[in-house]
Amino acid sequence: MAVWTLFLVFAAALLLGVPVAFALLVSCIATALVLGLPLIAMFLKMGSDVGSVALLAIPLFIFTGELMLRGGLSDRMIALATALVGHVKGGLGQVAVVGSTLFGGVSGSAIADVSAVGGTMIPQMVKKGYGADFAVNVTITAALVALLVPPSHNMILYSAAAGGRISITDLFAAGLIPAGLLAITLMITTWLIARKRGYPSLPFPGWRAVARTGVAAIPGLMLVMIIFVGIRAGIFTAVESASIAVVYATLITGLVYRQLGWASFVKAATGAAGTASRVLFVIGAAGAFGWLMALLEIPSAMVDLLQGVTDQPVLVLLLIILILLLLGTFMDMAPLLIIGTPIFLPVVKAYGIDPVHFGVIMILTCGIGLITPPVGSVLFVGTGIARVPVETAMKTIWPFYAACMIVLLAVTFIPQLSLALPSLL
Amino acid sequence: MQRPSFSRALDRLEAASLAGAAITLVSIALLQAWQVFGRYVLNASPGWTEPVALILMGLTVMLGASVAVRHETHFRFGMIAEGGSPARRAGLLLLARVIAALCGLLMAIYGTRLMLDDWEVPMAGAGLPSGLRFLGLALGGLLILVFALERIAGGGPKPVEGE
Amino acid sequence: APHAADAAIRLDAVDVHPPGYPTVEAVKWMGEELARESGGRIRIRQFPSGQLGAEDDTLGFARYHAIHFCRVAVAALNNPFPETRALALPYVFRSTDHMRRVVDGPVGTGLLNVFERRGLVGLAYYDAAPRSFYNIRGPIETPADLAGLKIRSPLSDMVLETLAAMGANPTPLSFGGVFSALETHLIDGAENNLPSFESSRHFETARFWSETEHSFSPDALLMSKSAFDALTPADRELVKDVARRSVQVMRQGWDARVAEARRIVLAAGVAINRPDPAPFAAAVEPVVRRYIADPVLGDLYNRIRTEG
Ligand code: NA
Ligand code: NA
Repeated sequence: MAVWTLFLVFAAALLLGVPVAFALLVSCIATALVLGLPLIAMFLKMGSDVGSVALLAIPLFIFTGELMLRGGLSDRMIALATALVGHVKGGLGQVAVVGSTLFGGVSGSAIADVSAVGGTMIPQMVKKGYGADFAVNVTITAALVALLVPPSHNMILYSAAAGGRISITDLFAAGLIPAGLLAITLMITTWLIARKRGYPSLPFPGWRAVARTGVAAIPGLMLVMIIFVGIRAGIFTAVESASIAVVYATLITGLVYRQLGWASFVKAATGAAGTASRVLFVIGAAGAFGWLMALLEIPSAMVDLLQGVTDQPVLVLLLIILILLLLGTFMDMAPLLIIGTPIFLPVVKAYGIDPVHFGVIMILTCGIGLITPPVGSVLFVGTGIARVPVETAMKTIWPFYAACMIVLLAVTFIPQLSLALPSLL
Repeated sequence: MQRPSFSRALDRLEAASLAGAAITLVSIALLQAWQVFGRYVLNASPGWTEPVALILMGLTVMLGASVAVRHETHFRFGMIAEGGSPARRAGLLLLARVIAALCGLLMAIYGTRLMLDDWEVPMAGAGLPSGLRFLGLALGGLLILVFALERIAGGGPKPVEGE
Repeated sequence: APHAADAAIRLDAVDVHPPGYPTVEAVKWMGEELARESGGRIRIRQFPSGQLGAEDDTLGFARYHAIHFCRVAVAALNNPFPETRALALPYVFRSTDHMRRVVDGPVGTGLLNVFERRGLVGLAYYDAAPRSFYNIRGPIETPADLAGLKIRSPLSDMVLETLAAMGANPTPLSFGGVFSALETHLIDGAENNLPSFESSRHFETARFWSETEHSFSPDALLMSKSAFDALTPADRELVKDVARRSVQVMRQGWDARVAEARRIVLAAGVAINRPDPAPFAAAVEPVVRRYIADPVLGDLYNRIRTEG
């Protein structure tokens, strides 16, 4: 009864055009009434989630992107990228993939990644005549690479949810090859789509132009370097790095490029506050929804179902992936990891599957949930930046989903992709 | 045409909400940067920066979310809602606005109660009332209610296409 | 309204620790015992691994009767229930035995009653100690070895003050952030109990465990007061009794877990040293004195110190 209330009210409200956050909230309210739960608990969860450390970097990286955009910093970075790979089919899409991979090594978060890279690249791609749908799709799938490149707080979350018995250094090493594989697959996908759609590719401007745009882009590249070196050298945390990025982007665009005036700073701040708040508002409502799902033991009911179906390890793994993908359509990554790991890990262990290998599968699978509707925070950030409706992006995302699935299946069926590096290091 | 005075008053309220969201966002950046400064330059990590930043983030999100209610720019799926007759579209729009108003009302009521219930408890690290964690929820809920009611009454700025 | 005598009662218990952790196992034992003693009428449904939120939030959920039991660290209770600070003061306890005698005795019983103020019923104190330092630099023999070290602190005023008094640079950080912070040398070390040091794999990076045993701050098992009041008087007694008896189950599990953690980190080559606690206790003396200037805490402090 309660389970049906939760899903049916949500689905009905969503389909009738109620904004996602309110559809989530109203289904939580209805379910709480059915269960006789105090409504205040729903709002406690929501209020607590929108004020949680885990999300603190998100508005700051969105802010940095706005500052870079309005202060001319990202224009210069794009100029360099264009000089370098603009002559390749889908050049800016390729830059988005490579940029996400590099930035992913910094952020550890797909949402921060799509905020930072997407905040710059999506408007640039649209400006250069790429379809907004394509711009969103390439950026949000590329952001999944960030989950697999260390440092990844999701891997730490997985290890913790597994009872802390899995080495985080092993997990970090295990993510590297799958991350590279995903990046290459996405670059090929980008190349194919760009060729089919005939996106403009520029003539190679010569090495002199590369050098010139390179020098102009140095302050922009420095931002990434400061974040990267700052975190790697232990000077600051990922959240702190986001604030350093804001301060740095303000100083460079305001004092060095002299392109950021007071008016554009205000525009950047209000724009970033608007985008960030719409994203985090949904995440807060989804927190209450996920809480009820956990209370109703929906994930474990699905496992009971699964164990009755098959005893083949590969089939079990595929079924778990399928369940996680289904749950991932509604749930955010962190709650899904936290709830799913203690339920599924004992199952796969019983079938002799390595927990480190399963960790990479979990992270990639739950990560895909970030870009699937109706609840996908990375999807929301991407479409929010592009200012296009979610369904516009969804119509043409299939090649990118296919690319993710190919990598996911490769990672699932070839354990060595995950386990070769940890055994070497 | 002269807009009704309550509508102009709500324009000012919206401007104040957006300004609040932007100011809290800038403050979060400065607080986190101060935390780094404190750790290296003062050799003492301030314990209050993070809890205060989290209160401010709650405000950024909820104030910004209320502005998005007024402009009707929250994430939604319009595929079904935007088809059909004008009467059907108007009916579904009304439903969405009533649900937003209801959620805003409950956010305001329970946000206020959560805030008051924890008011006496000092926040670890900051010494401020712990209940401030829910200030954003309470305030944002009230603003969402106000802006949704304005929409239900037929007021508010023109909807932006494509969002 | 109280449940009818024969109606099935299902109570939800939450914990941030995973299945197999001694506190989770103790509550699991409680569920089995309650089911047995009530003829299957009362059951506990567990939500471990933080499925239903962080410790702070689970206190709220219990208080508003959205869940029934929660297990939280006393540190999370220090601000809403200032009396519980007596149990978290550095060096207030001499040993695990001392702490156990105190929480089993009148002081512990008294400190289980303070939670009613905010809609909670205290059922039991569980172990989470002793806490010691671990770091990436070298063995800590005296407070001077802590000078300038960036030591992670949970967001607790008392821990922040304690670390500062010992000469360290306390760095507030969430528990989940500690591993990478150690790896990148953002922090030099942290303080915790052995099972957490081991299960978090922090020992892979922090190779020095220094047994300062500066805190024996326990965990508390709490129940929603409105859920408790909804039980019949007989069931209330049953729940209280089973919770009381679960403490022994928990302690056995805890001692085994501490021993196992010690074996694992030693086998992994972690260097363990056991410094003289006296200079550390002397360093935190001003912090303790400031807290016990409060008459309630001062009285509790004296009663704890004079307990056997
Ligand atoms: Na990463
Ligand atoms: Na999804």
